[in-house]
Amino acid sequence: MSDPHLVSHTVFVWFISLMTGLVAGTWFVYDALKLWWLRKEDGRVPMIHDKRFGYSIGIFVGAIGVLGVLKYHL
Amino acid sequence: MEARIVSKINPANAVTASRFFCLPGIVWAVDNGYHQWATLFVLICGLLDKVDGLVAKIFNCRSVFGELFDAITDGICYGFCLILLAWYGWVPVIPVVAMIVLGLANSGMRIIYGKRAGRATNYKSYAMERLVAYTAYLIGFGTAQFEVDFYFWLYPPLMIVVVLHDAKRMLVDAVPGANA
Repeated sequence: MSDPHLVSHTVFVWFISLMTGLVAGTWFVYDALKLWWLRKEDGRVPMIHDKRFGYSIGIFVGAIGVLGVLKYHL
Repeated sequence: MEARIVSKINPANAVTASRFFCLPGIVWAVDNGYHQWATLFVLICGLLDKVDGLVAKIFNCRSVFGELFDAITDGICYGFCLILLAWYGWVPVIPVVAMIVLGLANSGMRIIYGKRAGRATNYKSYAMERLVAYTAYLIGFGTAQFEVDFYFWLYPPLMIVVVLHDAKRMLVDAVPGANA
């Protein structure tokens, strides 16, 4: 049975790239802003500490997403 | 205020359960080497994961069971897909094994945390929430064969950091409102 493509390979790759880039980029900015808004909170409070750690990981994940797309195309 | 009792059979849980219907489609596509179809089924599965929360809000049917069912469905669907992709050689095996081992360790620690708390509770990890979303994307990258090695090999070190952090919070630090 032949491979039933839904779209051409180029369209498929750009769809994945745009979706990943947009979501990861938005994620990066969103978590960076949330981290920034917590800058004056007391980091000794467990909930604040957890949020800061989580948003930092989110920034990493967003950056990895964007870098992967750039790596593919550059 | 009296807690609202929600039936386990509700629209949100139905949407969550419908995610399992994506799995046969993914198996079919991967077995035949249809990358685009496999990616489409993964996208549908991921979309349904977002929709169930929305449906729970609209129909006001949020429940502890629903949250647990959603988490279990995440684990089964994502775990199954990762193993399937590794089995067919679409993604590297070692990161997948690391993910599953660390995921199981994290689940075990959550059980211990619940016992320490002395009640049905869940440790909310903002970092792990982000890694779970990353996992969903990894499956999509695997089916699409998009920078697979880059995304998969960066995941385990990040997960080790998060699991170690959460291990301290769940096993060492004081549990808020724990029964003496």
